[in-house]
Amino acid sequence: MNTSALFPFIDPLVDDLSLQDTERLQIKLWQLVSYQSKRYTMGDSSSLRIETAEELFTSICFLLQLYQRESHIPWQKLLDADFKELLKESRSLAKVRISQAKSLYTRTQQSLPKIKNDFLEDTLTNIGIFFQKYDIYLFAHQIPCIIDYPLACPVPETLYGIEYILQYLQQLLIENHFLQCFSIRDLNCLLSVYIPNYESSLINLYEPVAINAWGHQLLVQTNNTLNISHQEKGLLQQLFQHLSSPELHHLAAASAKKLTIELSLSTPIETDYLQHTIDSLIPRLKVALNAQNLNGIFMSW
Amino acid sequence: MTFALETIKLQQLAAIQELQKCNQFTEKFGLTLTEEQIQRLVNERFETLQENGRIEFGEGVLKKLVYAFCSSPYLYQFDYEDTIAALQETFYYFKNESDDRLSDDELITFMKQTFDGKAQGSLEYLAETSLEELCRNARYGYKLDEGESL
Repeated sequence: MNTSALFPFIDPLVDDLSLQDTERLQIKLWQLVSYQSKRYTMGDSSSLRIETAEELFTSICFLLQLYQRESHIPWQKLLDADFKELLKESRSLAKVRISQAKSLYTRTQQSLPKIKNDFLEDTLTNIGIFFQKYDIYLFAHQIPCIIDYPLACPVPETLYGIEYILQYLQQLLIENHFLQCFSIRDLNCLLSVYIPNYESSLINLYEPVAINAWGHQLLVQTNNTLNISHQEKGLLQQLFQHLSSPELHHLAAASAKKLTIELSLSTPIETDYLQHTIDSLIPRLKVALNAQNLNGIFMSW
Repeated sequence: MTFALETIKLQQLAAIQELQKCNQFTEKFGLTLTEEQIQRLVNERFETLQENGRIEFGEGVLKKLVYAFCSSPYLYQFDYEDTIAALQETFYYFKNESDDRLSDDELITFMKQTFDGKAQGSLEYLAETSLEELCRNARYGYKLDEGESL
């Protein structure tokens, strides 16, 4: 029997542990997997598929890491604890996360922009189903729902289970708040130019709006519209064309802050999110500047 | 990996001790396993688990198979070890084939009933006919007509 198949997941847990402590940890985790596998099979089966055992193991590691991060207790000290009790504590922490996520979910639903997108609506519906299907006892690392709607800044793949959902909802709420700052007419015009049938397209709604809003802010326009005319694109071309990438990033940081203040969205997290979105644009912007064509970057109608 | 080897050794030791205890019960049916045979069966348990992509944390099914089949009229001392080994292999294979929808006891009960009944001691018939049908039905959620199992 190749038990080493179960242990790659231990690596993130074993920072600075001695060989002896690593073995102690392995024994405790093995005992926990054995305990969880009995719960999974309800005592009806003495064996299970290795893939299932690996999933149970990953779930245990996910929960224990959650506990260790929150408690800040070093692993060397945690090794002396009863791991079944630790797992219980970890689940309690995860339940708090679920509660936070449900609250965020409600706020996200209420903050949906008035423009329609099928993938956004379906994803929100699916996240509602997530709360029904999420198995905190056996498979806490899994995300039992389909999340299609792409965010401007993808949620890191190092997040699992409820932590992924929490982060996703936080970011979606940021995007929704931003979109609410603009008229439905402007959003509709911009997105229709960005892609026809945006309502049924798998696109992120925030990014093209953020980019046009940024361009608008740089032009120091006071009229309340997202539209950037072709003449204004020429001005932006002149503004950007001699700037290096670091200078463009610096400009992004400064103007993101100004823009969020203007829109009354000045929490650091919203400013950072906007800056990050604009930063990701810069390689494409450089290419467009070289081609003297900003039509694919800023939308006009 | 020291820990993995230690774990396997402990499990093997526990399995050996269980099979040694089984002899006390099975000898009244004229069936006993020698120390070498017990060791071989236990080794084969781990090989069969690996071949079938399964893992066991507890004592395994050897004991259950021995207790279930020792009363079979088709089990003889001369092929006792080989039959138990084949039944063990068949068991793990069909746990996978049934998508784990059958409990250990359900599968062993069916195997014993069929082995003594329709299969008349034929492991090939058991594996290639009745168990295939049972597991297909388990996967699709059908109940096997109890009359067909005997």
